[in-house]
Amino acid sequence: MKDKMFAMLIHLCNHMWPDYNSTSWEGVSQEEKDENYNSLKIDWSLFGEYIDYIKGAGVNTLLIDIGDAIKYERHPDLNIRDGLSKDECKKLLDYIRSKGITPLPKLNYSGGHDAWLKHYSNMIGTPEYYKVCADCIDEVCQVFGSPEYFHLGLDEEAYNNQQRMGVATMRKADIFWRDAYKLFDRCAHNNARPWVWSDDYWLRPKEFLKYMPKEVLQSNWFYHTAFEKDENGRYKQIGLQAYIDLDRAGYDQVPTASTWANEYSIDVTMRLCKEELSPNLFKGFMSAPWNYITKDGFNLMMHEAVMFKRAMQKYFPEQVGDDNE
Amino acid sequence: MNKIYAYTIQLGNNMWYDKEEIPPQNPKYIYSRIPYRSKFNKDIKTFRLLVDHAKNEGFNTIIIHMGEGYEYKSHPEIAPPGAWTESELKTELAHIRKLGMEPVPMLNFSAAHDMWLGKYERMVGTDTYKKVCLDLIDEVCKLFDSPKYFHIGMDEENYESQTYLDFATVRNRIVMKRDIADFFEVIRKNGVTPWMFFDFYKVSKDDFLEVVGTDVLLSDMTIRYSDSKKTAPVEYVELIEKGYKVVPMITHHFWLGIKDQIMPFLKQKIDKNGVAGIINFPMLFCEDDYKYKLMYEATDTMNIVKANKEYFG
Repeated sequence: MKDKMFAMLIHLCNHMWPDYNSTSWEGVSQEEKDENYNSLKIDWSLFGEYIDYIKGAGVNTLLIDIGDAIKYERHPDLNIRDGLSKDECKKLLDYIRSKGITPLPKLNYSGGHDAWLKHYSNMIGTPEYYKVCADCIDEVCQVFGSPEYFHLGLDEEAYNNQQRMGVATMRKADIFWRDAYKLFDRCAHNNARPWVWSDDYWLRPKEFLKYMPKEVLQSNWFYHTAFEKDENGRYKQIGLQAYIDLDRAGYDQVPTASTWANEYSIDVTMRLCKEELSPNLFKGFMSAPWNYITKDGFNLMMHEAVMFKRAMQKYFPEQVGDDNE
Repeated sequence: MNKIYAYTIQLGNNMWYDKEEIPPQNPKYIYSRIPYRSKFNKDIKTFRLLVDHAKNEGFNTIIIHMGEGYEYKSHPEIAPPGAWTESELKTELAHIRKLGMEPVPMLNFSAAHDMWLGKYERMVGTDTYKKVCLDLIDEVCKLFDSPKYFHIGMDEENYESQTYLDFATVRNRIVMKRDIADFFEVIRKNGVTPWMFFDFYKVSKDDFLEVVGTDVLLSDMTIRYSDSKKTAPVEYVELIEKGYKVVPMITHHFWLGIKDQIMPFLKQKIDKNGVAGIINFPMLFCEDDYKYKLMYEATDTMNIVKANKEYFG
């Protein structure tokens, strides 16, 4: 992929977050809970309209958070009733490619977002855990036809992100990096460049700069608009300063914004990218709606896409289609 | 009294900020920046779309947040070129009524949210300011054919809410009380019931109770309904006890998760007999670019109402 990546993140299911024993489910019937864990969060009748719009908005990459939305052959114990067969998934990817958009895979291996791994999510550190991680990467790479990048998640592995979960799992720094290297190696084994969220930098910046390989593509994220600097010219919010620090440290980045918190995040983050990041390290931009292509979520998905398009027209007009398309 | 299910649509844009560029940045106000717009984008198509969508979702009231978006005959200097004309707005008012909904005007006279007044926002406390405000209220009451309610805003008139503005303007309790009384007088003369945000109650309870009768509908610019965040408007309870009717507000502008907090808060704290309805306040421009979020706000708000029929009756 020689040109910059302009990516939209979508999810096919919501099985990364509340685990089965989460207090989030209190008051929800067993039937409703079972139905949630067996179904996908996507309305295929809306999918085509959505893809057509984001293409016109300048999106050339669709990052698909898979979770348990496909049926794994080596680990059927992960599979859900409505999961896509590999053939169905390949057809979906071909459709996306036919629209001029490159689909890329994401499996989130953060201890805070791996509910999709079911019982394995509570087995971090065991041989069984590492095997299932590697197998899933292999199988997804096969379905995606050797993708150029593979997003591994690895965000928000902190207690405050897991207080509702049945079991909270936070790796200490040395264990985290050991496991991260296993995942990076598995991506390399499949000729895919690893890609991660960068928020571990906020917690442990020294270790991050010491251990994070430059080969790993970084997606730092900051969804607010408080671009305030201190007397030393550093952004006061570490989530924001991380863009600059990672750039100066030589990391390739695909910064990520979202309308999740406010309308202007995409605009102001894109502006920061153009004005403050090294052009050779600024590999692209990603928008993360944190919603679903469903009847309920469609308006927010489209809202994010519209805000993305408006920002693209401002900062990368050459990438964007005509409004009348 | 039937419950009010009110959806707010903006005609004007300039109620929140006085600069076009979203500024750097007091983190305290990161969410509230809605930039000033010197150019006006009238979008009647989106207005109609939102009205129809609101009807389909079950709203019975459309609050039209006028701002600078209308060519006031009494003060044409307020509206920018391209603002809504009388005939355009009357057509849409007729459409709203035809759908069985009640159109309600809103002019926000809080000094924190009155950039739409143009030069007059810098004249708060003067006779000129008062004349302009009263002229506008009178004109809009007649434009709406004496609507059931008239919302005067009046939220966040404090220093904290204005530190990001070029000028901060805060009336003391005496001037505030006097202005509110004058606004109400004109509204009532037109046979209309006032509606306002009750922020002034938090400033001076006695003054508020003196000037605001129990016929006035009350809302609050609540962002979160979580007690733990200390942002839940506990004053709702006191005001209901004193005989007022309240219309709690929902906005997703700051935070989508409000839907998870409002009902537990209302059910635990607020006597449902004191709740006159609910108001959705998206705080987004009425333009094609924002239609999806605006529709989402409407859908999500009425989903909350529909899921809590036993509370709303």
